[in-house]
Amino acid sequence: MNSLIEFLKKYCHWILFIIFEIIGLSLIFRFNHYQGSVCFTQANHLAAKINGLCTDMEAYIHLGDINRRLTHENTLLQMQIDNLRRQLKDSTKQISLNQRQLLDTLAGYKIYNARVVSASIVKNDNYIVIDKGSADGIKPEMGVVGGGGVVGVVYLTNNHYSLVLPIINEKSGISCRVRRTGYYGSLKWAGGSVYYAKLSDVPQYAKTKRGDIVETSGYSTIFPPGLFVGRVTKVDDSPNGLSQQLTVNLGTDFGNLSDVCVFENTHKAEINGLHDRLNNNIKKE
Amino acid sequence: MISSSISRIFLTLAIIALQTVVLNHIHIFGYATPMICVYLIITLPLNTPRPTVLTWGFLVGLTQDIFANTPGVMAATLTLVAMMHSGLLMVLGGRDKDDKDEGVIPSIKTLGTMPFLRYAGGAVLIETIVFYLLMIFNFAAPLDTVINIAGSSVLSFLIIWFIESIRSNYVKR
Repeated sequence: MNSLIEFLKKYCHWILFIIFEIIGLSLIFRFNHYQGSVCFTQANHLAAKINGLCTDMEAYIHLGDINRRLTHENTLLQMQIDNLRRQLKDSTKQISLNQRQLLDTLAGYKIYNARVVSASIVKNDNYIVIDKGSADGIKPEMGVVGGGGVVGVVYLTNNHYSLVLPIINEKSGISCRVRRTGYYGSLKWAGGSVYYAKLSDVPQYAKTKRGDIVETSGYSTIFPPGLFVGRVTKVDDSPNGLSQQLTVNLGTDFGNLSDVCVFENTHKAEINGLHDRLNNNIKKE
Repeated sequence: MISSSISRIFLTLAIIALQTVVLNHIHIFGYATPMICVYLIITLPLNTPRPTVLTWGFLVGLTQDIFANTPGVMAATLTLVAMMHSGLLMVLGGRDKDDKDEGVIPSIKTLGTMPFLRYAGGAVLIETIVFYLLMIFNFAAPLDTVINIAGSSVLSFLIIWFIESIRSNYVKR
């Protein structure tokens, strides 16, 4: 207590000085508008600076956590970007390839959409009925293609329905080729399993392998070239030994066929006209 | 003692009246305004306790503020001058801490002309500097502020010198 009194005695003028100065400055800032506003502004500025410093310090302290979180997020995003990039690459490739193929393939063809009304797959003479007929522009000898690949050829039509001769009909025959080698032959179904057909008349020297894709050749006026038919599962010699006979696993699942496209070759009349003239000339000679 | 107190009261009233009525309205070239209230502090007896000097300085300043409509400015200024009173006396007035003439009132007669003028000059300079800094409260026009301080300091110093000369002659007679 004594030391406190001593201290106050010794430094009372300082305490008094501080008190008087505080009173004086308070009066200045309280009653002088300019000084008051400057003080208020500066005080706000100072408070904002201090708050900013505190926030910065707080942020600095939490930098470790933020850094870990960002790294985690960054890794996830990088994985996502990589995934998307691959998807985009694949998708772009497919689109461009599809578009190119479509443009090349479908030049000169008209496409009609149709639905399968009925189908038989257990006989040797199987038929498919679709819900589009001559009234819709469907004519005999138009190609029919499903989601899995080639289905068959339109055989008969009436006004609103058409009968399709599918690959899995013994009377059916479609000109096909092996995509890798380009050698072609005639695809026929010999009965039995609806999943397999035979591609005959492929030259012996054609180095066909299992897994080769079989597609339409485009040598007829029925199908555009390059439409998927199936894959080679077995390579055999033909009975006469002069050519290969390929067993083809058909792409079309005839047991689950609903939507199909019918292809019309718009130049068919001209091509047929040439054939007719050729035949007439031969007959005359 | 009583006569000295009465004379101090009269001196205080006279200085405050002079400052309020006359000097506050003088603005030479718009810059120099004499401020002589500091004279009431620098002429306090040497043995005056520091708390008393401080209180006296604050009250004189507050009174001046009331009349001059400068709330707090002169009070804060003269409190600072009062705080530096003994230091100024030692450094500029030539008085030691252990001076025996404790009841002496600082004047030209007691300190000598030059020491008193240095002492008064220092006090006036501190007063004007602090006063103008508190009044202007920015550094937008530092040259104007310096001219204000210099002009007011010189003018205040001359008036204080003049008053002190008259007072010294009066006390001599």
